[in-house]
Amino acid sequence: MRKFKDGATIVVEPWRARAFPVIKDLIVDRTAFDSIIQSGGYISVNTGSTPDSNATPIPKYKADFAMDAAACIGCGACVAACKNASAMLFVSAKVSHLALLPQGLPEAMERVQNMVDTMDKLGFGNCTNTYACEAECPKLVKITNIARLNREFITAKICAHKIQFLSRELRPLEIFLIFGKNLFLSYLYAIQAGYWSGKC
Amino acid sequence: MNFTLKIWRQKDAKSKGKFVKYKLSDISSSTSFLEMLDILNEQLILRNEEPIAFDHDCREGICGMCSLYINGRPAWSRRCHHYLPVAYAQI
Repeated sequence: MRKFKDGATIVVEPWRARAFPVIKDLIVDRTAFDSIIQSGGYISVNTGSTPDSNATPIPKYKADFAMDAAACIGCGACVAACKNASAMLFVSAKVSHLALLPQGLPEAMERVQNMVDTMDKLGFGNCTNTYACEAECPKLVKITNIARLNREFITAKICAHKIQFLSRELRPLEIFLIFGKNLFLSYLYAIQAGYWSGKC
Repeated sequence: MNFTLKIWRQKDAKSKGKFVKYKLSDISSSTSFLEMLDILNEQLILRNEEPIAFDHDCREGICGMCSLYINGRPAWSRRCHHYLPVAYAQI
């Protein structure tokens, strides 16, 4: 309590968000986070026993990014700090730590769409880049994860469309005509970032 | 140390909540925020009042269970005292 001044008045409230209803006094129901994790925070393989440590080579910087994202403990401070009650820092941390590693790649497209769908359904808001979540995150999860989530999501949407309706890759001109300028630019960015060749 | 606490009291999910004032005196400066709430609850129980319900588990910044909005900011663990915004209030 030495952080407070003697005689100070301290106001204590529960987390405030539509998706986190108050149960009693200062306790809120954070089941929404569990539902989001259930909708995609896993890989569907029987992992078996411990593999050789270098059987799957992973670049150090990617391992670091994944580890930083995996530091998220799902406390909900990002939602409480956000004026939109957005859970995007949480979702992006979960999506990132799996999408950055080879084990998470096969399901990356379904995962990001399912998790974002669940997030929207549960009543969380959207990110407007106020950085409040990053400022309050106790595990220092970076907002660059949200950028990665957006890239993953838009790539998945384009690719899923491709897989669903056409049995071949769309040509750039077709993408421009079907999806318009903004998605076309995202598509170009996705190619440049290596998302296209790696995953689709 | 002496504190005046304005704490959100809400009986259950459906009822309306309100802030209730509590006065606490003789709190040691090395008390954590959760321990301070424990002391307050002890006093409330001795006075036959309903203790304040709050989440807590590991109390050392690992599990992410404790969650309080203190003075208008999400306050979190004592582990993060090196990080200014969360250091605003030490739980």
